[in-house]
Amino acid sequence: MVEPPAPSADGRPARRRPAAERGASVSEVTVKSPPTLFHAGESFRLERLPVGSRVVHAPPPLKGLGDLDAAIDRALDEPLGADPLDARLRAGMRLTIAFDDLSVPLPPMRAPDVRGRIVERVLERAYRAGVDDIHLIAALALHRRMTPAELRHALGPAVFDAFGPDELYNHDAEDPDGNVVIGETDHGEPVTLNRRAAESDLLVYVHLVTAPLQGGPKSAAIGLGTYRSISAHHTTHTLRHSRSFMDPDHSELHHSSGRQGELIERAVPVFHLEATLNDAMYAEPLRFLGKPEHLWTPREQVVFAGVKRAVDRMPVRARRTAFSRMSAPYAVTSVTGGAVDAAHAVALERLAEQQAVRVEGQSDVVTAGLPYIGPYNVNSILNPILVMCLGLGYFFNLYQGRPLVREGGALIFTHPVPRDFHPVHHPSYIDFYEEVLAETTDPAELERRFERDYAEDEWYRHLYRTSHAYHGVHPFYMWYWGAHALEHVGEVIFVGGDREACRRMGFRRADTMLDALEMAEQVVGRDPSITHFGCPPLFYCEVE
Amino acid sequence: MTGSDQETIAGRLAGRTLLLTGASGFLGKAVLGVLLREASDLREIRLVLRAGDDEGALERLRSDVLASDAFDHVRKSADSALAAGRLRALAGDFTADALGRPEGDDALGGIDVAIHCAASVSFEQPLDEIIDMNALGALRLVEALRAGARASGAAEPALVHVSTAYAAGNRTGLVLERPSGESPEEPELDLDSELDAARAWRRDLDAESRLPDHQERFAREARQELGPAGSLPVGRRAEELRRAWIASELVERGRRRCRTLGWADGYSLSKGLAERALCAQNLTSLTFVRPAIIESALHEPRPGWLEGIKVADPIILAYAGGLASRLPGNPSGVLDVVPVDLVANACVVAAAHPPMPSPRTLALASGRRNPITLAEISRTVTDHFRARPLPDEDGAPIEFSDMRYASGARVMGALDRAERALRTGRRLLDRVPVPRVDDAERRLHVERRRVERLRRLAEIYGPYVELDCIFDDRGTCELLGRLSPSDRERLSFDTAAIDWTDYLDRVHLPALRELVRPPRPPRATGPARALGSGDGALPDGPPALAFFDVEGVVVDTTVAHFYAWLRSRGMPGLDRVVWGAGVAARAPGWALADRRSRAAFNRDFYRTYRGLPAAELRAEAESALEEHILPRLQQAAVRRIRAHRRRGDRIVLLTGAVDFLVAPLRALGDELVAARLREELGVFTGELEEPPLTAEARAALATRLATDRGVALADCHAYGDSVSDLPLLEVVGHAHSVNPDFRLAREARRRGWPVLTWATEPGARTRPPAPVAAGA
Repeated sequence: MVEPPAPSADGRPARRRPAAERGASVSEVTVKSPPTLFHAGESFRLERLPVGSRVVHAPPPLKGLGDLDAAIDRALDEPLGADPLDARLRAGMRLTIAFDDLSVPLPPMRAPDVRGRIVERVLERAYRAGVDDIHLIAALALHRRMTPAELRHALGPAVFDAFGPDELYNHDAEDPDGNVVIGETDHGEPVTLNRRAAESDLLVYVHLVTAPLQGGPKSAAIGLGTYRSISAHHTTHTLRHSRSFMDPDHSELHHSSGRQGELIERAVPVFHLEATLNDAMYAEPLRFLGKPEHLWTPREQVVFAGVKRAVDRMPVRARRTAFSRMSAPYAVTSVTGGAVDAAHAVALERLAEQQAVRVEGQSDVVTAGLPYIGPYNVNSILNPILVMCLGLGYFFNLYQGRPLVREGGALIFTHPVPRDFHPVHHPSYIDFYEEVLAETTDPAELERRFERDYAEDEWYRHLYRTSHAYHGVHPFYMWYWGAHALEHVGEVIFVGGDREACRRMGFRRADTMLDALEMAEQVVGRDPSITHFGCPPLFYCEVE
Repeated sequence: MTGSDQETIAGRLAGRTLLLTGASGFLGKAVLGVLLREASDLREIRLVLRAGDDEGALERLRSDVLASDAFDHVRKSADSALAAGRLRALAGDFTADALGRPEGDDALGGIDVAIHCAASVSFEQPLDEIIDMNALGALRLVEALRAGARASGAAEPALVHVSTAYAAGNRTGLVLERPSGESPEEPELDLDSELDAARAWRRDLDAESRLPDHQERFAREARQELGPAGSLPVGRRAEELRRAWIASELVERGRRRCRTLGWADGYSLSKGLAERALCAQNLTSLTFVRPAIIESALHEPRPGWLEGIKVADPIILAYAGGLASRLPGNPSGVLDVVPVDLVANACVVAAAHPPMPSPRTLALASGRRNPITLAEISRTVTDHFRARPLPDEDGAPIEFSDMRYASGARVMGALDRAERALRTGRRLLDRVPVPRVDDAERRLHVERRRVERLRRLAEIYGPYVELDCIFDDRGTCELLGRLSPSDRERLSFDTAAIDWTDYLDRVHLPALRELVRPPRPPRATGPARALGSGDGALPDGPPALAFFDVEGVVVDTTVAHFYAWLRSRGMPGLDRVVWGAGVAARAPGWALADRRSRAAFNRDFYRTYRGLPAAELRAEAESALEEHILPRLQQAAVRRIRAHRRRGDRIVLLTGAVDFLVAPLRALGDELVAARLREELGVFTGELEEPPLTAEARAALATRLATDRGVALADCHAYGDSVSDLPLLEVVGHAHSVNPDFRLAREARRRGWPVLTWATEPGARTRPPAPVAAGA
């Protein structure tokens, strides 16, 4: 079965895909199969898919690194394509350490977070070299500011307590004095950067790569960018031509932001660090949720039944609290440092080992259960627009090659899609839902008619800068995230979705999976081929 | 007069000039319709209408009279008569000498016969006004007619005066066809002294209403309604209440005077006085037409033609509307009803047949020959509305129980008890703070309105349904016998020929239903809007100012909530419980104070800040935005503010909360006006730097800001949620009430302001709590 990797066209050996090669990731539903697990917001559903349906499971978690500190040291001392960190540190220099915000990993990593571990080792070396002008910046682009508790979790108490609010802070993309213009790419994309980062003698960027989308040259251009630079590629046009944005080689988004990143690298010395994690999303006693259903033991089946009953009977707030308190016992599978491209290439390979699953052929219908969490609702609420983004943006785009669902096919998600918005985190989303979606759901049209108003609104800007709100333009980006899927698929159905919210977003809803499949048949024809995309845990399909 | 009795009415009226008054009224229109239909050979019809001049009268004739559907079947002859000058409109006012027409005017000359339909038919008019109109008005008409006849050298015209069967007073048994004042049992009455006395009441009542007892009562009621809006709006309302009290007291005194004399009300008494006064004038030809209760038409202009609610209708509607099931009245008593077209026919026939001898009285009633009892009427009404119920506010059919009768005293007794209970409830509500006070207040108000309406019905219409008399109509029958056979078909006024059940069920009640059917709101088209939206677009207009009250409109919070949040922040659990209990104990007192005066409450409340460290509280307040304001923000307000921004309006946020707590909201508007606490030696003194910004102060501020920026207040917008915002809302051109409390909702309804319902986000209640640092 397993063929040795053949060398690719450019002479490099093709990436190995241990997980995909294991072959157990794709199974077929038979009359004896147990029902399939669907995530549905802060709950679960067990659905019987028609016999013959294909189920793609996440590969089992890889083993983590034995000695993380040693791996970090190796990344710092033996970087790829760059001088060791120690050689680049000197007394009196300005050092800035930027790190990914709380949008990765999902769910948050059980303490200690690997970002904190890496930052600690970097700081150690900086102190040893006598560097005392150090700033730590959460590279959050247009995301919400992290709270002190969240920063403390990401960096660990020791680092957090050692730095005051003037040295450890969130990037502010709307600070008129805090950002500088670096220039313009040859494609005319403006490039801006956080002033402190731009004026540093060395920018250390600590990255967590949990999906092929993340990391690489685009990091600094987006994470420390402004609306001006980000809006160059966060457009309906770019995202319609990013097929998919989880495939950096075929992603217009990556090409554009990569060009910006190159400009930044020329302007600022960057030491890039990327860490990858395994797929151990669930802690005991729910670890079995990451396994295919037919492997659940009787005891695990009882636990599941108990958990589902308990969760379904909880008040909404209690349920949300319980889910948002969950953290994952991830293990770190690699830490790589050095030049941006070199380090990123290795990280992507490590990621592929864990996440890539080879799937043969597209399907008429793809089903998936949307979980309670997405990149933009950590400690928050997955509102209808984020549900759309999670389903049509992330889940649909978790492919390389061709989409899992054929053109004109149907996507069936399970999620209650409640019309709930976090009033502190997502204020502009509420108005987007009430004002913009009431007018149109076409990404290009709402981009043309409404984006600027929201991006430049004083109140949203104020909330983004002083409170913990996502930038006013953020809901628009969420909608563009789904632009490719909206163009590609023929029907989107939410099983158990709120009637009004689904209608407002232009989707259909059904009460049961059977109803949804029947509705899908009207679009794709009788007896469609069905594939269940068993995410989470996070993985992506290489569709042939 | 010559010609046989068998001559047709048209022939008898040919070549004559006829004057008709009250043509804009229900009966007047019917009479004019008959004249246009039957008497095309009349030389001229002159109408006296209330207007500034004859031009205006003509305009009224076209717009108010001929536009009615009563003239649809005679439209052609009306138009040709108007074009040929055979139909003329004259301006005239029956409350002015010589009808208010210029000296030397000959418009009232050359008249052969006059039909006087003009009258005030209100049961709730001060006695002096109604006597002036109905009794003196008739005399003025006679004077004007005589003067016109003298000037043109013609004979004195014949007069047909429309009176009422009830002009004879409250009688039992047979009521003869004799003008009022001719039977010995009637009291002596002097028109002038009745009028003088009734006029004197106005002065008396005005003086009385200014006595301290009454003043206090008006002030108390006004405060109940508008207390927090400030002294001046309260004063204005008290003055309105005083005027309303004088008006109702005038009516009440008039009614009592009439009942003392033996008449049901001012209307029937004034008609009785008119009959006496006209008899004293010794006219050569005078006919009194005395209809009983006039209701919708039987045949002409069309079956069921009805304009406005007539005497018996409010009771029918109250019953069919499920409002009243027990009515005062005597079920075996006869309720005398007569269709309007029969009365109109009788008027025209009487005009064509001069009386022999004069004066002549024609009763138009059915009680003697074709009676229908109250019990029969109520049975028909019940059956009709059971089969075809009226819709309630939601469009669902109204159910009602069988109609029962009780004596007037018992009904009044029940109403008195209900009113006492409501007053007690009201007093309780003002003294004891209860939760959901708005709802209680609304229910109390609805109930009070119901009792008031029932009382009015019982007071006004009680005498008509309690009467136990039969109107003699022999004279009418005799006149009927003189009609030619062809006229008898078209101009009959024979009440014996009516099938009452059929008339009620198929003619009158459907007409009544048509009249009261509420206008159906246009069905909303297009996609349904979700919660918090669909507030409609802003009106066009030049950019101006938009004022937003913060508490209750932008943020669903109060001054007290801000305080509680600020103080309890960071308190250990147990302390918070104890402290919370202490605050909760004082809350009812604050709630009552706030209901009386917002300004006094604010001052009182801010004393709680006395002695608190200023710097510490300011530091605590820094997280107000995300911890207190954003979760309570009504996002629709933000969208509305943005809509105003797009129009170019300047946004002014007004709040009673302290400045440092609401400071983050500054970014939402262009200007934020908040309370400032005085600070001495680092602690708050509990005093405010400036008077609290409530009620009139907000209106004054709005006026000043508008003047400063050179915009018209009429173009400004204001949004308020409580009655203390009333002065601000009144001063701007576009007022909007947002989630109004009961009292503001009532004012908003009265003034036609839009009522918006904005809500906080459900996510604010279901969001997971923000994580706190572990091991901090």
